[in-house]
Amino acid sequence: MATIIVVTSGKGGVGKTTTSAAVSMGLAMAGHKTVVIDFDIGLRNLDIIMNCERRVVFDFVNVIQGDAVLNQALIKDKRCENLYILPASQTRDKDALTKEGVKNILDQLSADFEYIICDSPAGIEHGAQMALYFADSAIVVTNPEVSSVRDSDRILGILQSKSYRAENNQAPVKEHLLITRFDPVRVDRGEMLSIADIEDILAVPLLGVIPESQAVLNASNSGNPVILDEKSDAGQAYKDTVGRLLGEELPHRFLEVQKKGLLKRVFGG
Amino acid sequence: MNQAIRQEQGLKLRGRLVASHQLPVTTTDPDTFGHQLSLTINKAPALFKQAPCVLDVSAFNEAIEIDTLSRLLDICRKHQLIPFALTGEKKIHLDCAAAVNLAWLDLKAGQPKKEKLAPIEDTMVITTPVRSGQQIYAKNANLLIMNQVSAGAEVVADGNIHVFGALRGRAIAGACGQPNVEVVCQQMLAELIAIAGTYVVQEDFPAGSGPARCRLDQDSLVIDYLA
Ligand SMILES: Nc1ncnc2c1ncn2[C@@H]1O[C@H](COP(=O)(O)OP(=O)(O)OP(=O)(O)O)[C@@H](O)[C@H]1O
Ligand SMILES: [Mg+2]
Repeated sequence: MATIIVVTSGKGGVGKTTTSAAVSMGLAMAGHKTVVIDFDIGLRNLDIIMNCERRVVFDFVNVIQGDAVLNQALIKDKRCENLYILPASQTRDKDALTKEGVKNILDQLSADFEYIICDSPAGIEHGAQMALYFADSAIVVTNPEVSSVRDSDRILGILQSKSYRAENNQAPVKEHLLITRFDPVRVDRGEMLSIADIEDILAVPLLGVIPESQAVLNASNSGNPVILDEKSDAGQAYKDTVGRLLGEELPHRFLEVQKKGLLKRVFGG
Repeated sequence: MNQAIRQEQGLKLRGRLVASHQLPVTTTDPDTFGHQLSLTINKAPALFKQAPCVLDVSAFNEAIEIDTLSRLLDICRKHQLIPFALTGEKKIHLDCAAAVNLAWLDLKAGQPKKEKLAPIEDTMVITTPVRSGQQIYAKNANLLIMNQVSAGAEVVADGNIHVFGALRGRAIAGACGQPNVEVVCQQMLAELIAIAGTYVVQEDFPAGSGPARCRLDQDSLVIDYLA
């Protein structure tokens, strides 16, 4: 039986797809057979971040509608043999997703995979609800700003009331808080919420803090999940995040304002 | 045979209360009365169309002249009301009612009775956080929340509301009108507090923070910080 993890947020553009790519790659590199599904029908970009957009033949919706079998749509990652991608359709709309269709695919994948990562679209409507409905656990991606935190709270409410687990009185969906685009300089200046503030408002265990980083942009432009950039702060923070997801206890890093090194101070930086 | 039985039985009476408007008459001047009446009716015309009503003349210590009373009744009918009874001080006004062909209602019976609110004994207990967008309603019950209430969430109870965590959303106690209820929370950050229809929004809260108790004091909502 696979563990189904939804990466969700409510608010758009907070780093769900970046996180889905990094976490799925991280789990696969740790030896777990993993598949990442793009639920963002009509706006697919997971395949771009995963650098497989030129290999998409069939997609998620094709499989749901019976136009293709699952194996035809799954794309094997070229860097890590444990990782597969199920891309979204660019041309259909979100209503193509049905509970039965999604369940059918997840059931099939469950037989073969250890982890199923669902990259949710933004919002709280149908697409987002389909992505989280069958989840066992959720990574709630939040930026350190009030509106993002508020939307995360909303999504947490939906996870605890409208998921399969909630509707069938099973153990609740396990919640993880992931703070991304964290910028200690702006927190110090009072322009962003602190980690303590966010934890206080959401009351969900903190899985990780990903710093605001140029490495993320570089990574998505080159089609390499940022976790592969082992030298970067964001890459390391995602690696720690995956470690914690797998039960390791690791301290949170990159929370403080970095003191400029001597060279940077001399030459400016 | 059947018919004979029916005739002997006569009419079967049923005691039944009819909802009716009670119109307090404060003036015998037809123009003023007519003006007052149209002001009232214009607020909710649908409510008054062909509606039964009782004229309350308890404001007068002497019997009203029959002509005057008839004129007031005409004004009521012109406004599509159906006056059917009179109420007031029985000793003074009973004869007036008979003279204009109206039924008599005892003042006590006619007075709007304070609706008896069911005592609230049950308590609904919520252990999970109440998140933004969620609403909890404890019908005929108190509401005990062993967790936090997020901004954008709404907790409603006919009885008291106790939140053993931060209250950041809206709390509405005494939702059916019970005034003797309270909202108590560990951390007062609410967007709105309402008790029996009286409400205060965050902007108007008194300064303070931490644990708080909110209650009604003669129609105004009081927030006491306990720390
Ligand atoms: N830690 C980070 N540092 C800097 N930029 C980041 C970081 N995380 C994400 N971004 C940037 O933010 C933008 C949105 O990221 P992403 O596509 O992962 O968000 P999303 O939540 O999936 O968005 P959508 O709601 O549209 O699906 C991208 O341009 C991405 O490069
Ligand atoms: Mg996305």
